[in-house]
Amino acid sequence: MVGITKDQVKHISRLSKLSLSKDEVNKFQKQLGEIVEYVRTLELVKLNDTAPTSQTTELTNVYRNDLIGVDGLDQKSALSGTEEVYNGYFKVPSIFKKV
Amino acid sequence: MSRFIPVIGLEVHIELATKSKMFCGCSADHFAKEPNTQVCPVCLGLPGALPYANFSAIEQTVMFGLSMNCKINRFSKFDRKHYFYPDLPKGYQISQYDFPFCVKGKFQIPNSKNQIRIRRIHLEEDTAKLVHQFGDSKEKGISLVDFNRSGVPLVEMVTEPEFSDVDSVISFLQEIQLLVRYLGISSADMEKGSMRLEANISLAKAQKSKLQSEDLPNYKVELKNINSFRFLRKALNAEIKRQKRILRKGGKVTQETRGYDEYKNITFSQRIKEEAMDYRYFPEPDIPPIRFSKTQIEDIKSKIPELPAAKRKRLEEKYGISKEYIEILVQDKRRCDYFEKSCEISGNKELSAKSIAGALINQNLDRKFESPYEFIRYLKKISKKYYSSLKEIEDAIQKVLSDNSKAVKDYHEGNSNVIGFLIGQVQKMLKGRGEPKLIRESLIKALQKD
Repeated sequence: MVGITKDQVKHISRLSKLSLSKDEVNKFQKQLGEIVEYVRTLELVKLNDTAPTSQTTELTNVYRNDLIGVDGLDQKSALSGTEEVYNGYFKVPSIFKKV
Repeated sequence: MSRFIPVIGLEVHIELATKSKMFCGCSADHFAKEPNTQVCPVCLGLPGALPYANFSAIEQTVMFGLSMNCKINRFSKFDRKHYFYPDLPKGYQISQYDFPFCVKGKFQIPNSKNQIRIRRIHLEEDTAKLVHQFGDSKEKGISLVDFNRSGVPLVEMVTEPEFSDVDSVISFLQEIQLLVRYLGISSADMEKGSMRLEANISLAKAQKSKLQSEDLPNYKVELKNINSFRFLRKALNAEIKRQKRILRKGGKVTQETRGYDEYKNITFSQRIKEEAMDYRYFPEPDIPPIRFSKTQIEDIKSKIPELPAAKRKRLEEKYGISKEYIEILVQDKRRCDYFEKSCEISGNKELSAKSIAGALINQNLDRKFESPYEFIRYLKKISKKYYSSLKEIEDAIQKVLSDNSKAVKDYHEGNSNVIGFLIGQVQKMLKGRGEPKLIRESLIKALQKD
């Protein structure tokens, strides 16, 4: 079993802005490793005659014209799903650390 | 003391002036609008919402790429670029990774022999706008998010790091701004954020006068959040000075992102990249890839208007006016059209292109006269310093008729050819100041009275 390393788990948690305890790192190392291992079964499929693709629908060139739609939300509905608002804005914790 | 040569590359973001956003039908015209009033599930990143690509934005990106002499990828796609920030509710930005619409361009710096290679031009969605409010000592600061800008089509152009002086950087960027306005794809207004600049800069030790590829430095400093050409010039100069100082002392320049403090005229560290950014790009599964046919690309190419560089050349060849005049006209397309229309009307006979351009530019006569016809009529009027009055014409005619009784006799005997001769005599007396038409009319009247 190849799995993933503790450093990889820590790297992913940093990217996700999650702080993990030591126990959690061990726990997710095992779980994520199992997932990777499971996905690895795809390597058994013979793909010599198959061209690589980035999608499965076989569609191309799906566009719309540059027109303004009518299905927008008003400010009240737009803000309805958030916890804190301020003068029509979504309010989030300061992204700047206090210097 | 060793000499250093700056190695500068640019990243330019340009917001396209489409009516609707990149992946939804919300209005893309977001400047100074009430916050969160031009939004929908797609640009708010609500679960289950699906992007639907705006073809005009794609077409405009390709048009821009063709104008920068890029190769257009016949196969292209969108990718997800992941990062975590409050301006990006999906947790990823729809952008382009390995198959951008345009690659490998080259662009001439105006008034220079140097060409800059363009690495790529791709299309992505703009992020939401963050407003920072700094609290007082008790209250912690907050950040506010407005999604009106989220999803507005944004073009990113990346150059190769081939600039070695700040002047070239600025004239290149000014030319890009002009080009984009000629194409009509963006207002490219830096104060409104529809054109944004970033530069990466390092210093290479010059062994000889020319830079060799092996001399390229192994670090780069990115300058970000600069919102005018003037500040970019100052920031680059300040950063070159800072790096020189470090390198001369034998130090190493840290690879990082820096901002510019206009009051202190120094750059300052914003973020040190500890590890390479890990964006975990993968193909956007909700948008099928794009394939262009040759005719489609040709079709887009045919929509490109005359661009500034070609216009400069043509104005010089066709009108022979000075470089200063040409530049003023090229910078203002409407004014240039007015000038050319005026030259056409004047018919190049009495008024030279030079005098038309001079009157237009130095006296701003295009503002006084809405139509170039009125402008030219005015110019013709003032260019003849003085017209003979009717009285002067009639006096001259009387004199000429009494001095040339033979010709008058010929006229009455049916030889109308003498009229030309008589007009010439009158004009001679008036020293060429008479209006030919008026002389002719008055002359015939006088002859018939005889």
